[in-house]
Amino acid sequence: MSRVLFVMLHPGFIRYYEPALHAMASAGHDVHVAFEVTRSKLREDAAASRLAAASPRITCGATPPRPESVRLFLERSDRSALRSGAVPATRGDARVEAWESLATTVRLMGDFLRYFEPAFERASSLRDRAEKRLPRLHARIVRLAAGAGASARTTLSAVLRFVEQVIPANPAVVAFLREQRPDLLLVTPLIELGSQQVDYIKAARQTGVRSALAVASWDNLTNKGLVRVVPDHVIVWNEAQKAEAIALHDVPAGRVEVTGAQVFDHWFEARPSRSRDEFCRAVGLDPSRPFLLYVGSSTFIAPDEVPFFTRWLSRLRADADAAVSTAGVLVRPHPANSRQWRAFEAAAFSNVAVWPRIGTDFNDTDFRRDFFDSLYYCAAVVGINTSALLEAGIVGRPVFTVTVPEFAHSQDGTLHFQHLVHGDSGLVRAAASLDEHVAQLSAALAGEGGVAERDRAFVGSFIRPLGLDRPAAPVFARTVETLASLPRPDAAPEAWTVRAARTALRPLASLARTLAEDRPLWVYAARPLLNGAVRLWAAAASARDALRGSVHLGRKRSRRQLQRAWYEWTRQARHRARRANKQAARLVRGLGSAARRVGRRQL
Amino acid sequence: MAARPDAASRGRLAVDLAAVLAAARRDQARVRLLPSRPAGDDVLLALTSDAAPRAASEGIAAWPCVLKWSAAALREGLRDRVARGRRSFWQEMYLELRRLAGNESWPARVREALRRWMQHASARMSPRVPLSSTTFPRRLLREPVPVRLPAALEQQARREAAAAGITADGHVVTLEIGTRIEPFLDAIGFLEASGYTVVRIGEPAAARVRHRRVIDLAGDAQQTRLLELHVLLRSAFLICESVEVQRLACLAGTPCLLVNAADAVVSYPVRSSGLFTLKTPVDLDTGELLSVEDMLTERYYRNRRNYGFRETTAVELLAAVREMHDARGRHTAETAPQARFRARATAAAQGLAARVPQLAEWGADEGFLGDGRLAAVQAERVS
Repeated sequence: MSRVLFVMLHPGFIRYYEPALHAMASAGHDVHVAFEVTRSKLREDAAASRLAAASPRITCGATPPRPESVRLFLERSDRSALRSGAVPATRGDARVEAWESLATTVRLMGDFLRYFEPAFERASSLRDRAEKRLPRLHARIVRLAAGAGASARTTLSAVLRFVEQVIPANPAVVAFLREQRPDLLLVTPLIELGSQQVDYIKAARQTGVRSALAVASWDNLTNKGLVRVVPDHVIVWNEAQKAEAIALHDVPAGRVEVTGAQVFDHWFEARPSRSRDEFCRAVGLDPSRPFLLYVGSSTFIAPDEVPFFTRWLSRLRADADAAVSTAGVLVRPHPANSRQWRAFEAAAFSNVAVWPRIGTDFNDTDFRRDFFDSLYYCAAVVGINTSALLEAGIVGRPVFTVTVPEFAHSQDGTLHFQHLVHGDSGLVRAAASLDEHVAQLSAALAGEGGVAERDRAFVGSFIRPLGLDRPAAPVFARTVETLASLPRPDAAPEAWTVRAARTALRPLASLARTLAEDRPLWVYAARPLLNGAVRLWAAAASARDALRGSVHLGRKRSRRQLQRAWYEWTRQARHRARRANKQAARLVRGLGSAARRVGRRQL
Repeated sequence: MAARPDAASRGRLAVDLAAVLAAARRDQARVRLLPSRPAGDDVLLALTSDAAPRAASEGIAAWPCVLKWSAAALREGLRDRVARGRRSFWQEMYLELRRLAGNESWPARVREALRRWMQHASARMSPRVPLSSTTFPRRLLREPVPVRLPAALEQQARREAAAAGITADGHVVTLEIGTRIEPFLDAIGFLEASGYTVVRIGEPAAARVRHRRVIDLAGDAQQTRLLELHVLLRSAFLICESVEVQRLACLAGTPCLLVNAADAVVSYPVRSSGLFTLKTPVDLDTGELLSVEDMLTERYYRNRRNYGFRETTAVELLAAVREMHDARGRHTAETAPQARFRARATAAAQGLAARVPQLAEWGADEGFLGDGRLAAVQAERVS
């Protein structure tokens, strides 16, 4: 039985792999899931506890702490952050931190640069998002290279790749891998902008551990960062993602494994939990009318979705076709973008409901069941660009979208949207205007224009490419099992050239840490002067304080000595006076007795 | 008087044109408009006024003026850059001093002094007045300057209007809607019953209006900038959801009812014929509704992303349209709640101008916010 180490960015990724992890544990494999950061926004931490409690073969924990993270890197350039002059604890920490700063800089630059490739010509929002993470100077360098043409872009890309090779893996990560000694290292998502998970792949190479990237979702390879260091294997959902891995991330075709989308397995077997009437009454819709399900999109895709939805609904209600104008509408907000729906007043419209209630626990078992019921009983599903459209396709509902200017950045501006609407084989019927869209909905409500076969074919190729009746989670688990049973690769010692280049690049690492602050260049020039002046001032102040302290102490001592001397002198004087008194008294007494004796003799 | 109006948006261009015309009338000067960059809306730039006649903007006669303008613009640009540079310097100094003051190993006296300097730098990095001199000249715009289209354009506009079914003799109300038509339906019915022809302009975002006396030009091939402006110029009043269109009405001198405004200060109508209604903000964290007074606080301006909005209801819209209709052509005294709200909005605009850049630019002009009012139906909610 093998041991698998699964490194996830945060516990939110568990939901993509939970059935597969259970299948691996059931097959007798030990799985340790390590999270780089904790997250509780949607109560993901509860998922980690649930997973660990499910099987003794599955354990959960944190990855080793690191002195630098992408978050810290970004925080450093945040001018409103309240921070003091904290410095790394030790010289070693400072060095690691500097290398990690350089790594983040290089990775973020590479991620930004990729969005200048012809494939991303229309991805202006993705490009802007990548740019926002970079200090202005670095962004300017990338823009300059990108503007200078393909050869300049290729050259900069090669330079960044070279620097990436030279950057050492974090020593704590290497030690963690040695301590865990897994047969297979799985990493997800690896392609976050500036991701530090690259170090796990590097450390795996260094320690002779087989590594694999598990691509979590259908948009991962096209709207985030690059796979900077290619792992031994890449596990994807389908052939479309395989093509993306090869074309956009330079992954050799032989390293890619296609397993299907294990995250959607449960939709194939799910059955409704109640009757349609019960469901409609529960959510507040008229059971006698068919209803449309509007599925909300994420914050990046649809930051202002409510105004669009209101406009869409208004258009529906104004339509001449009574089937459309009186149809029920059920809104299912995106779990991570539900806040904005608080402004929407469903009661102002007839036969419209928002469900589940905003703030419902995403990890609740009822949440998924309710969503399935929504999909099952609706007449059609509408959305901007979200995974829920795929889920609707699996359940067999017709899926629609409308391309509108306010979402151009997230529809035509993303590559993964093209999978949905691709020519005649796409799952989603996209309309170029609201009028066309409403006409499509009208046909769907009338039961016309059914393309169930086409939708089924899409689900077959995109979700379960190995067969519609073959669940993907066991396939994923078996693939991992097979990879883990392969012989360990040889540990790759570092070449002397890499070590030499590393020595040469060390100043660059320190510079990267400094430049991450994103300040004007004159600040870096003036800083040593200002630092020096304040240090001198502080030293002078300290010296003056010390001098004052010593003078004060001297005075105090002298005063004490004087006081002591005076005390001693007066004490001795008193003592002497007392003795003199005694002697005088004795003398007087002697004289008295002598006088008395003389007197007696005379008598 | 020479001017180069800012053509970045139609609303900005309209405000600049209205301001220059008002200033020329006040100074009894002629107006010379220099070409804008980027080129602005030709139809707006073609507007003329008998109160402020136009001088030639091209040819040799305009050269001295262009040169003088360029020199002044250069001077202002330099001044602006210096001011920005100074501000940036103090901001960076503030950050450096804050970093140094955080070093606990240094003597307390040094750190205290560094903190004092930090405060000094902080005071200098935020200017009391906005860097650009593009404040909204509300006082200047208080009285409209009558404008008209040149004869040739007027003829063309009349032809376009006739083709669109807008008769020359009817009373017209212009309507511009953002997202939804439903809340406006009762108000449209009232306008129809009052004998108006409603002409809808703007973007075709909301559904088309199907009413007997509504001419829906939104998204129509017949809708041109010229026709829009012509309709606006001859309208009894305008009902709009966009602040840009409100500013266009300010130039055209058309009384305006702005509905669903999200900002009580920036959207405050300058002229006494202006009216507006506010959306209801919703705190997206708690779902609580904010009051009209809450919209005048710094917290509201600082956390705009934290609020969603609910539109003005159909009942309130109808009441506001009635108020607009009743006030048409005659002076009506504002109600006590309306006066109270204006006083509060003015005080908020003045108080927050130093801290909220948007209010520094579009807020009160030397203590004057506007002669317009919040619709009575909403003003009654102000305590």
